[in-house]
Amino acid sequence: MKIFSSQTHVAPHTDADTLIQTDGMWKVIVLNDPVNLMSYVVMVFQKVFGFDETKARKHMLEVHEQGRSILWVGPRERAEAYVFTLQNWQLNTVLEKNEKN
Amino acid sequence: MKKIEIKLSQQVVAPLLDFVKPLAHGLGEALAFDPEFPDNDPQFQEDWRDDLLQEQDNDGQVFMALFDREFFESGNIDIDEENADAILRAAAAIRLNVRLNFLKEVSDEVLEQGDVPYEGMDPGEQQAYACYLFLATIQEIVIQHLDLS
Repeated sequence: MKIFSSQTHVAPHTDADTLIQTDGMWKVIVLNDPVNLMSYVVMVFQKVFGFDETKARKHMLEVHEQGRSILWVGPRERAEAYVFTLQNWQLNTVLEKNEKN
Repeated sequence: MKKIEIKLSQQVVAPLLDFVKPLAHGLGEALAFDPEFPDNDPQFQEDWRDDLLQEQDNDGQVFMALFDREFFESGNIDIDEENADAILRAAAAIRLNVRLNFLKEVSDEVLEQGDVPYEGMDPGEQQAYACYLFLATIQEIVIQHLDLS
């Protein structure tokens, strides 16, 4: 059973920097790794989420300096698709329940 | 994205390809890193892993297709919008593999800063590190030419 194939997604209007006040929302989190180039990570964020370079770079620096960055928050099914796509791009990505109310 | 033609030194790159080739072919056998699965269900995890592996294998094949007869005749490799993404991902996967399996003695900090004690490495590590840098250079060149607008 094929779950996903890699695709470039354009981000929905949900902004990862905005707190989502709804139950059942999930966070797509990219973790730091010592291998992937900063330029590569920025590029992946632009491709997958449709970020401009400034926003992509901001998230890359969060990953690099803080060890992780929340790239997207939203419904589980979409979040899983993003996780798969990012892992396909060789970024260490995890899914976490958004516990904020 | 416009087509990029990169001219490589066959003398320099051919030995690196001897190292890279089995790793590229191995992209269909094991994932470059152990992913965290979004679900604990064993079947879900198996399907997720299989899908990632299939994608990774495809990327590895696209990457190795760069080094065809034309490369060995002219030293040129061609990258365009059809193969760029796969090449970038394959290079990332191989670099992760190299780091994990051949550069274990190098710390994360040293690797990130690029201040690697190359002269003090054994020949195997030197070759691994040279490949690591070569793949990074390919990635940088491709990224510079991507149209991300």
